[in-house]
Amino acid sequence: MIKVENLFYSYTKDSKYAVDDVNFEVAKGEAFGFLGPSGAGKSTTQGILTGLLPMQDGLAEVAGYNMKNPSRKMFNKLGVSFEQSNVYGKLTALENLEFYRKLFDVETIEPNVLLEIVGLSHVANKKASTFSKGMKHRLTFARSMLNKPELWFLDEPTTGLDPAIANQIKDVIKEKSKEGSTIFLTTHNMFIADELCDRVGFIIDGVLKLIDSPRNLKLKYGQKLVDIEYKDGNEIKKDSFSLIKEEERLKLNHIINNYEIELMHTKEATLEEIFIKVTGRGLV
Amino acid sequence: MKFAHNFIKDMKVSFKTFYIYIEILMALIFVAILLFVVPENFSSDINMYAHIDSSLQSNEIVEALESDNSSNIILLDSMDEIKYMLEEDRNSIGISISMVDQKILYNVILQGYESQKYRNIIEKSLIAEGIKDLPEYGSNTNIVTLASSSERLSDRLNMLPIFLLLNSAFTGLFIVATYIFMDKEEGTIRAFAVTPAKVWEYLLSKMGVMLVTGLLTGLITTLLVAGLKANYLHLIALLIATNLFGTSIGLFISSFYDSIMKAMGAILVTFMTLAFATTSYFMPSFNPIIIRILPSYPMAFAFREVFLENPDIAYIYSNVAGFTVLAALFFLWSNHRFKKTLTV
Amino acid sequence: MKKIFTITMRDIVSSLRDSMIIYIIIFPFILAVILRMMTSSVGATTVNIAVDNSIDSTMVEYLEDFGNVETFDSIERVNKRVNDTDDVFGLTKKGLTYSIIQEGNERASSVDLLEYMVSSYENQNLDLPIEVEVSDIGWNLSPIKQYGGNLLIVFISVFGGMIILINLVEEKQENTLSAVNVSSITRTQYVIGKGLLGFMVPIIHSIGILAILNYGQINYLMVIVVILCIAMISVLIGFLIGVTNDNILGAISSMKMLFIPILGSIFGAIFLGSQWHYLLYWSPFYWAFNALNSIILKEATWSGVLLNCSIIILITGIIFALLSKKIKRGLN
Repeated sequence: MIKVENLFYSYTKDSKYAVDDVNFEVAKGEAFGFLGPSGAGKSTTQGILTGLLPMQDGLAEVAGYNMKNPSRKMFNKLGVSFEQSNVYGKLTALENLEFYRKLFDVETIEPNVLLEIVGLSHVANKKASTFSKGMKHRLTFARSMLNKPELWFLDEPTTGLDPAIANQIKDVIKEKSKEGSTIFLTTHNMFIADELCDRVGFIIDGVLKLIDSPRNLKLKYGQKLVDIEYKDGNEIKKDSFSLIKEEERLKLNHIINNYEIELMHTKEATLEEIFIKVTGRGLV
Repeated sequence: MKFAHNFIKDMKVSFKTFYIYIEILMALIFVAILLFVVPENFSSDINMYAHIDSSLQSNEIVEALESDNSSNIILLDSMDEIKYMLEEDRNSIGISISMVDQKILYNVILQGYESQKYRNIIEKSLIAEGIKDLPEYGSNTNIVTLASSSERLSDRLNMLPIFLLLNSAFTGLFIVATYIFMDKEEGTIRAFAVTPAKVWEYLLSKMGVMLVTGLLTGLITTLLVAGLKANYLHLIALLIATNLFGTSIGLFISSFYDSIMKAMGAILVTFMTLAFATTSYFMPSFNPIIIRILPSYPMAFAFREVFLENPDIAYIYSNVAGFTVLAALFFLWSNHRFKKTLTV
Repeated sequence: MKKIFTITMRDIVSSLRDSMIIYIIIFPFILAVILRMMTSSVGATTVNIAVDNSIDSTMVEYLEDFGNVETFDSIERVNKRVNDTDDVFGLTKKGLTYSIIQEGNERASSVDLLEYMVSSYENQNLDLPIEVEVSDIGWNLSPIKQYGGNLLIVFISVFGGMIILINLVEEKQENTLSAVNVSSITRTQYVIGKGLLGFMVPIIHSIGILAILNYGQINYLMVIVVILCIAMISVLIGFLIGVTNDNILGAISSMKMLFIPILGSIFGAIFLGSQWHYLLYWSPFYWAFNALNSIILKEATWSGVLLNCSIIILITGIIFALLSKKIKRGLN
């Protein structure tokens, strides 16, 4: 669905690349997470793939269209949800969706249905300028689904939302993914990527460091640990053991057999920890 | 079809930002000023302060001086009074007439800012006035008028074409940039850019809003000020062509900038430059080439034709055609530029 | 004081980054230069004559003493030139008869003048029964320069308000106004800090314009006093439009609407007979124009200037009283 080869982009049109020799492919039906801290080049890459930024150097193919000279028809297959909500404040939620709906040549979803999905039906006829940030964001998100996109670009879809709404949105994304939509998710939130994506790519300073599935990454870079709290006499002791090292496994067995266990849980390395390990940088 | 949806949405937005109401209100204020403050014709005649020596027959001289209809004659008792009045009224001239050595001496007193050519004209016309009754005087000039039915508009009506030009025709020049940058600011332009709709549909719909606004203000003003003394068919044709032209220039300028603040500067300069054509409109003998090449120059005169009983149809429609073509060219050019820069 | 200055400096810095402000600062000076060039060429404008080759060169030379002469090689082209939109008369000669060609919509007096010129040329040898002397009283300031500079200054006093307006709308859009509201600066300090530019810019403009147009020894202190007063009204309007509009579209169209009363009252003051001037008494711009006019004519007295200024302040005060609530609300 997406094919990127040797992609470069510079805002200053010199050798200060915001996107530096990036290569990857996203298969049809796949959910791909594009991860990196702010300013790493995520949004620039997405900008090029959605035609908002002109192609400078390299090759990018989106939904079968060459981005060097894309046809407007391509957008019938695409849905784009922006990080910063962008809706007409002077128009109502319904008017906003009705307007954009008419710009597509393909069958679209009834705006009321979408408002229902994102929980905005009760304010369908209110001007968007009166909305809270989260409501505007949901409206932007709903708009990106209008044309039942085959390829869905999501830029930080849950950032800044309260957990309940974020969960709703995640559920919608999972649902669409199951139905076969290809998803290109840009985020710096590793938990969401972990939850939603089949594969993730780490980008930093414009360079794509690695691509793999979250599971593989965890297996490869993660260290399986068990955190344990137990009673030794009147004292509560804390410890953690690796499940991979023989010697520590034996120690853990010993504690389980001889002491009263208060708390015990296995701890997988998070994608965030792996990211730091791979890139040497945090995610904020 | 997409263009139509876009246009309807833009009209809704412009009604909800009150922008159109402001434009209409402004047209109404202009109408009120024109009807209630501006006199139908303001006397632009200059005052001529004259002192005539008692030895001369003043009645005949006054009659002769008044014959060219260009000034009001005010008789005073002395040269000093003339000088005093000239200082009071800086837009006037003085004349003292006396007999010296059997000849009539006309002593013309000007302010001092008048050009040499003007002085020469005053001198020669007085001489001509003085000699034309001599028996030897031979006049062998005749006057040919090319347009037999040409007419002058009243001073009030004469201001209307300028309003139509600066406000209705150039509505878009002034405002279209604001519309585009407002969409940019709201981010809705990016949302638009990821739909299959085309950039030209977006731009054309903005042009449509500007056109409706321009037509509305132009027609309201004309209807209230000129009533039926205007040819509305020609007016509408001209308004459409010039408004499209103005907006396409506005689009073109906007395509070079990334924020309204920056674009507004260039737009103001363009607008004011084009407004200079009004000087030559009100003073048709002031016609430097630099003003005659401004597009606003023929526009102003074409708008004037609309109010004449026998308008120069060829002139009006050559303007209509010319500016429509130019509008199309600038529109295509802007479209080409915006395709690359609209979302960057 | 330091806080006020901080607000003003922020506005200056942010204004300089947008070229619009640079245009706003420089443009009035360019207009003044253009006006200066125009005053001389408008003054030299008398009558335009288009001649064909039936008119000999001595006649052309003679006519050039009075007006602007263009030569064409055929009568058709002369006619075409006469038919152009500007005022040009044609002149051609057949046998001994001169024909003056007019389009028909020119001022009647101009064609008479041309007729006089031509007849005088033909009757040059006559013994003149009269003598004409032309002198002047040494007043070099033409009305176009007198009114033009004044118009420019009053018109441009609005630009200060415009800068305030742009900065305010920008603060609203970027939501920085609420950040200022939760800082320790008082409302008054903030308003003064924002308003200062609205006074500084027109003063710089007016002094520059007067210097470029070169009116000689005029009382600049009086000019500054008048400008301070008239700037008040633009600052007030700048604030009003700035706080009531949160998008630039509304702001710019409201500002544009202000041009009408300004130009209306000034052109009214120039063209209306003095018996009609009471129609303009409501307009502070009329009083400012009046005061500046007397200063430019070097006839101004302090009592006269101050009287005009108090009227402006009174009108501004009334407007302020009517609108202060609205402005206060908008700044929150």
